[in-house]
Amino acid sequence: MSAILLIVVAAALLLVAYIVYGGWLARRWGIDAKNIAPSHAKEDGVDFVPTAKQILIGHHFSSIAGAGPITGPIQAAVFGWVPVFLWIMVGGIFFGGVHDYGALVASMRHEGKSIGEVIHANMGKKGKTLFSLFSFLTLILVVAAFTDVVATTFINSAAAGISSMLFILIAIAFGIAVYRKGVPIGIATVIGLVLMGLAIYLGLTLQNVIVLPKIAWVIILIIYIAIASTAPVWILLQPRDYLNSFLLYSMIAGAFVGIILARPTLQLPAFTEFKLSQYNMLFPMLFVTVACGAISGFHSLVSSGTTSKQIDNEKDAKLIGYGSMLIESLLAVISLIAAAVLTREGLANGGSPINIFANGCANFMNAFGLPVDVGVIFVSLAISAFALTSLDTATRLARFVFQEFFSKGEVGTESAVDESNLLTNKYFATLITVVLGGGLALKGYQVVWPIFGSANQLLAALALMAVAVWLRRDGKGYNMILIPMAFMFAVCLSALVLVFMSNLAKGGYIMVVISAILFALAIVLLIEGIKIFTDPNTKGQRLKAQN
Amino acid sequence: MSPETYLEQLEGKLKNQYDLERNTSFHGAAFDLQATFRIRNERYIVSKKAVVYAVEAAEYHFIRITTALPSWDEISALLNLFEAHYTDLVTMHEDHMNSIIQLTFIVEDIPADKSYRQKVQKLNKQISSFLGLKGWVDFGVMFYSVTKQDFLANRIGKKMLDAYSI
Repeated sequence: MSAILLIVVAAALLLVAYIVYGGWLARRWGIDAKNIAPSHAKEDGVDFVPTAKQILIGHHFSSIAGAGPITGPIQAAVFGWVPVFLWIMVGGIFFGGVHDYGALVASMRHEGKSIGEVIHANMGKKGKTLFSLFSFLTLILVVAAFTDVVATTFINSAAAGISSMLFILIAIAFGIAVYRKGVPIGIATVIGLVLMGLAIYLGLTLQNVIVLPKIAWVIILIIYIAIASTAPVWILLQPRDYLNSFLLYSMIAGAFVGIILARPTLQLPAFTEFKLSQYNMLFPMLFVTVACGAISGFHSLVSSGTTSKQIDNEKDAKLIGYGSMLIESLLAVISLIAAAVLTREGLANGGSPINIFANGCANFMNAFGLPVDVGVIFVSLAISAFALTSLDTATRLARFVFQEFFSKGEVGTESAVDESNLLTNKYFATLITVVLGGGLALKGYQVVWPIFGSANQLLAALALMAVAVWLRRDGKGYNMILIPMAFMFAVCLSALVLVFMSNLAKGGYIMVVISAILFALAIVLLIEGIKIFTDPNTKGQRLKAQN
Repeated sequence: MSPETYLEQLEGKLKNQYDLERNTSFHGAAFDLQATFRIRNERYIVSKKAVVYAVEAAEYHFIRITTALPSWDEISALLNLFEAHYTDLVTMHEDHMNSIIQLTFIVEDIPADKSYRQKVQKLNKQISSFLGLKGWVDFGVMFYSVTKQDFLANRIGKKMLDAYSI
């Protein structure tokens, strides 16, 4: 079967869903262009700033996009491409899109408050402590999974590793040039992009000269994220993400056009088997492996805090909340195609998901003349940079959670500063995070990803519950939330049981302990959530304004 | 338009985004208007307490109406005064990115002397903390002619021009 059919069907379905289902959701939730958005009602030039939708969708998409829609579908392709495709379509349209759009609307209707603030405000002290522990474990898993995915990519493609390290240096130079020295951003961008081309060239030239073992890459990455997560954002994070956005958008466009021109044939079986091994079954593992392209807990938490405060008009929320998720689903389909053009043996021996994606896209883009080896590095560079962004963010958050757990006052305020308590020190907390994450990374992303996926999808389930609570308080319809919510809880809890049992069987006791803790936390949080949701006092009653 | 009228209109323009104070002084140096702008960008997850990163920036405008052009020595003395006491305005901390201290003179005509103009345009003064990791302070100088709607400024002062356009 031709991959063109798959991509065209996906694009068509997502477009129809955007117009039809997105329109139905907007009517159901009472979206009205005449309603005054918080960005205008509370405009203060600080938090609440009306922003054009074209700019906002870029900000929002770059916040939610990461290596997730790449790695998940490729790993899940072992079940065959049909189940993965169906989950991406159904999940993206009815689960993830509803989840992201609903979180955004709920936040807008509540003065821009984030979903997390509702969870935080409504849980008791026990709930908050458990949520902190849950968050810390999940973030360590993110660090472990993404560190190993990137390290594996770099040992399979030394050129990508060299180019990525050079890219970091270019980003730092860009930050200094633009912010410290006042170089106009247009000129700096052109120079930056040219230097990135040079970095790709040097990667190709030196790939047989600089060859490092995996442990070396893990250590380099750990050191990198320790520095990146403590450095000011202007010197690395912002310039890196800015330059990388050019790579990302051109990569998506190039891969899409490349598939149309190359007309690759799908070689992977449409469906392999339901039970690949004793503990690796299509349900629930497909649904925790493919996260960001279908539904992902981190989306609602990242997006609701800032995007809702900047939306110029309520009607823009559909494009930004629902539309962004559907674009990510399209990216997930492209990833799936990159895997599905391989045979089962090819997929098993293709290296890390990033390697498979890079090779696939490079071959597609070769259809319009881009050399394959250049394309591989170009794509690897783009995806690795996004994985590094996720690593940076996860490390900062994990550090915050660690510090907060041991601080008496609020982290970031004077009352939290206790120089006698090493556990509240920013650098010590960072060290703990990267050492734990790096240590787990050595177990391999294949071991860590299922448990990371379970935790991430559990967050999605909790966020869906919070969206339902918000809508219920607002007197709006929330039935479209209940099925995805129940499904995600069922998926996550059963996945954690399987991970527990599989690691117990092979003596992976660290994963056994982590999965057991996450399962227990999930049950407690579910019970806390149900109590809030079923509280008759909350129906049709908006939250009072809080400072 | 007279400089006083211009200043009133400027106040009206800036009042939504700037904190304004008339007839101020800074360590003995008098100014007709002081305008302060501060912005803090935070990215957070789950709760506003969980800050992933934060960036602060600020502008401190010291505006003086003057009929006689100050000499270059007077300008230098003012800049040295602000450089010596900038900590009264700016606190360098890990979220601080940059602050601008802007001296603006509202004049009838901008300076015509070529060497004076070059000194203003080439003025490049910056203080940084911990190699810039705790941010830096830039100094801007601008002469703004209300009659001719013309200006003379250094690189930093030129960036502030939008604020002064009525």
